[in-house]
Amino acid sequence: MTKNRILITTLAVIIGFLAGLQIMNDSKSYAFINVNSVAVFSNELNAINNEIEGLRSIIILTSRDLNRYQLSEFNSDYIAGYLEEEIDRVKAIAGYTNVRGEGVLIKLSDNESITQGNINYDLVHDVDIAMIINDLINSGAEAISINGKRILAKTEVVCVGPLIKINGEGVGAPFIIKAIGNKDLLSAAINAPNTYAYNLKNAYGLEIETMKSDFILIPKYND
Amino acid sequence: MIFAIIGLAMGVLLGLTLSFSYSATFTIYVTLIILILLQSLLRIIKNESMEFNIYKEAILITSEILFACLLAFIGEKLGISLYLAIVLSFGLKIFNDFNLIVKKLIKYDKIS
Repeated sequence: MTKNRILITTLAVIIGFLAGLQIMNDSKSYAFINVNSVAVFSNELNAINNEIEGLRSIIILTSRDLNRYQLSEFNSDYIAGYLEEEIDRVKAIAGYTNVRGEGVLIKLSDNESITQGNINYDLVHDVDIAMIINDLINSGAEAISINGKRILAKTEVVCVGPLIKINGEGVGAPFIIKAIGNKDLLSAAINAPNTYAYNLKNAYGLEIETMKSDFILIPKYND
Repeated sequence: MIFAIIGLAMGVLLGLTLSFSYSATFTIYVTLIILILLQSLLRIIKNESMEFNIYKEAILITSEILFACLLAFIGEKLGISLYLAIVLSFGLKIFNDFNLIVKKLIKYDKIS
């Protein structure tokens, strides 16, 4: 009987001791994890670190701008130069400068072969032009013109009977769209399967020709 | 029973007063040891009328602890939570023993 008591007491003391240690040990935030969750957490850590790097570079850029403004406070020549630079940049964005570079030329003309269907299906409409312009802008076009009319932020593309009104002037078929940007991307926006222009060409039979070019000049907007 | 409770109280006091800390990696092993010891304690309390050999008991408990720690270690190396198997088996045993002890205490089998 005493042997049993000794056994029981020692076991109980050891259990209590270990339990007390476990309680005292600061391991409440510890979780038993396996290899997969380690990988998941390290990926998360990498993503957050990358984000921090991006934010740091933004801070550097912004403080550089701030420095330029602060410098120009002391030097009136400098501020004039800086403002002129800014005017040029804004003009280029707004479409008041000539732009040249690589790009694509697109020729859109009505379906001239004899069809049995509705005549409306054989014509190029204002909606078609607007959709194609949106596709081009979406694939990174920096400047676009239609038959020499520069496309600005305020440009309208409206149907006026047999013509299409662009920048307040009527334009007739065939339409020649010039776009400056990455020529492969722009050409893909027109020719890739299931784009709007691809459907126009293959389902409605409109004539759409694309030509990639290394040198395209788009004139500035003139009112 | 009384000795077990007194011993537990003493042990907890001892563990709380000693500020001995270890790496968080060993938490799982300490938990397993506590579980195995608890099962042994309940097993001995259950068969209190029997005469136990201290050396044989010590060997049995030590081997159990070593094997459980080995399994948990292998599981950690392989990326499988093998320690859950030990927790399950000893947890079941603890519950069975506890059940029997309580039944013995309240004389569950006797018709009153």
